Amino acid sequence: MKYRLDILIDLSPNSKGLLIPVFKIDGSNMPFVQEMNDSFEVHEMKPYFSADNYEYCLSDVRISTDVGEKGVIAFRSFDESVYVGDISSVMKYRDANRVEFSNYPLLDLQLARICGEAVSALYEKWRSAAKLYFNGKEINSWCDGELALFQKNGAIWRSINSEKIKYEAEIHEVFGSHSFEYIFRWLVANMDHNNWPNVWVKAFKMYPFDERLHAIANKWLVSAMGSGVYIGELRLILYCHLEYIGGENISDIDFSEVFTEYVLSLGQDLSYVLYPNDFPYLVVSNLDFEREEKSVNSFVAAIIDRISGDVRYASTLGKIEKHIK
Amino acid sequence: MAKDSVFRKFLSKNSITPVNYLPLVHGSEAYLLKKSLKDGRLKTSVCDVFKPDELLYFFVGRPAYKKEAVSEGEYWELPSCILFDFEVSGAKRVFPFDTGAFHAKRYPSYINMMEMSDYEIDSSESEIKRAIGAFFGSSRDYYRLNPRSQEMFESLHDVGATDEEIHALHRLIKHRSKRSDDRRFSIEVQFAEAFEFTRRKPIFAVFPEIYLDSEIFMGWIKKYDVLLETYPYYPLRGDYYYSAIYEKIDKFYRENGYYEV
Repeated sequence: MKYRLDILIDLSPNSKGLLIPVFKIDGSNMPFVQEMNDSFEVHEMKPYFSADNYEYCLSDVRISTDVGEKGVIAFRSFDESVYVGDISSVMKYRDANRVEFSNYPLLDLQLARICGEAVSALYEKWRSAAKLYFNGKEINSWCDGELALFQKNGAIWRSINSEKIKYEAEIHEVFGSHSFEYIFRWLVANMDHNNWPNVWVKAFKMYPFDERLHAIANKWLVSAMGSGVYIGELRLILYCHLEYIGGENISDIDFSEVFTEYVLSLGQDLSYVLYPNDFPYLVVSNLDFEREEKSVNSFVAAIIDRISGDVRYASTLGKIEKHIK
Repeated sequence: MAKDSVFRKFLSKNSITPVNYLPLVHGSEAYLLKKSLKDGRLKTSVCDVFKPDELLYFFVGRPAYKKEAVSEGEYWELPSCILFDFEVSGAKRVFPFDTGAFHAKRYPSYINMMEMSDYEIDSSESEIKRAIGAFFGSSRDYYRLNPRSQEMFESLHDVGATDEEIHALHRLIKHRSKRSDDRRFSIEVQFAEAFEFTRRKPIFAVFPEIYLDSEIFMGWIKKYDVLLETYPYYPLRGDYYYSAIYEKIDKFYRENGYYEV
């Protein structure tokens, strides 16, 4: 399953600098960010619930990646264009436009760092950037901090890599080189295992719309929601499963009853189902309106109240209003 | 005032040299702290563990980001943090670890089998410094999570075989696991009131470096006279961000005498 580029998080709109690519898989709105290793290869794709909370820009470039492949690097360039490519193409682009970058010290520094410039070259770029943003002794202080961090990079990455190996041995031993079928059988046989949600998410990334995977998610969710498991512990699986139910037009009264009772008790934790920004619609469209009509209506009103006036939810709000009519 | 917990009894019956103080650190997603700078305050919010209290969380000294303790696997994060002077009067509760992680059973069973309330301590400055001094020889050792050895700990303190809670806490500090990460011994301080920056001035902050180029953001930094450090966010890797933030804060402590006794 390939992850295709969706949006680019723009932390400082209009600044010339690096953007953060957000990916989606076909048929799902769950945002993912690529965790990279120090060679800019994708180590893992992680869900990113907060993506909707940042400003973003778009790119015309159609690009996708996956674990083990080259990561996608994006930035707003000196001429306002949005560049998207892998490390090799970024290096070529930078070589072809070196002179232009020198007018934009932060972008120049960011690309120099990515392209593996030596510390002597980086130091000049730290100075140029620092003079632009700081005054007096803060200039030296910021440069010293960057130098110290750069010098520790090797040790930091060694530590990350060793932790990673330990963590993977501890948590992901079920995977190894096993197939989806093996993992699925593990999920069936280990419904009470602490790592069950983690393993399910891994399996979801492999085959997001496997019918059996969602049948078992349904069973697990009914049990977890019925026993009051904290929403923060199950919202990712809940979101993925609600998306699947909606896409397949599945109607499951038993699930809907437990789900309705569970979300009605969320109270302040309602915020957990507000993003990704279509989550509120998925929640409302799966409520059992006949079960506790008054409470359900109040709950829907609370959701509408939270998302009204927020442009990110315009489409979601329209779908909710259409649904409740 | 905290009840007479097991940890409090341990602190009161032992002669402990307090360590020097470190600032209060509040960590969160970058967009949330950027908004806090805009609003000029850190707000309280409802907490799952101490419902219905609305609380604001800090850790003493360490940017032990209070991320969600979920079993679905980790979510991606873009962290940031803001530091404040160590001023704990008015704090509502103090614990030696992240109560959220304890509540979500992220810690090993030998500590999660205990009562969380057995670890609550008083919110006084001296008790917090002594709580750290019991397990660490210096504030720098605390920051680096480098505790006294078990032999040293037991030789310095009156801790018997029946003090299971204290043994468990020491064992937790030494327990390296991604599941409980650096929150396994970070003094958590809870406040029931917002921090208004005009009254509680932020002293230091770490954000992703692109914010340097935002005039609005830098205007807030100047307005509150905050010393700003940044971290590179490529390669995109959460573990790297935390390491970078730790390094930047470590430098701030070294240069400003926080590690000096």
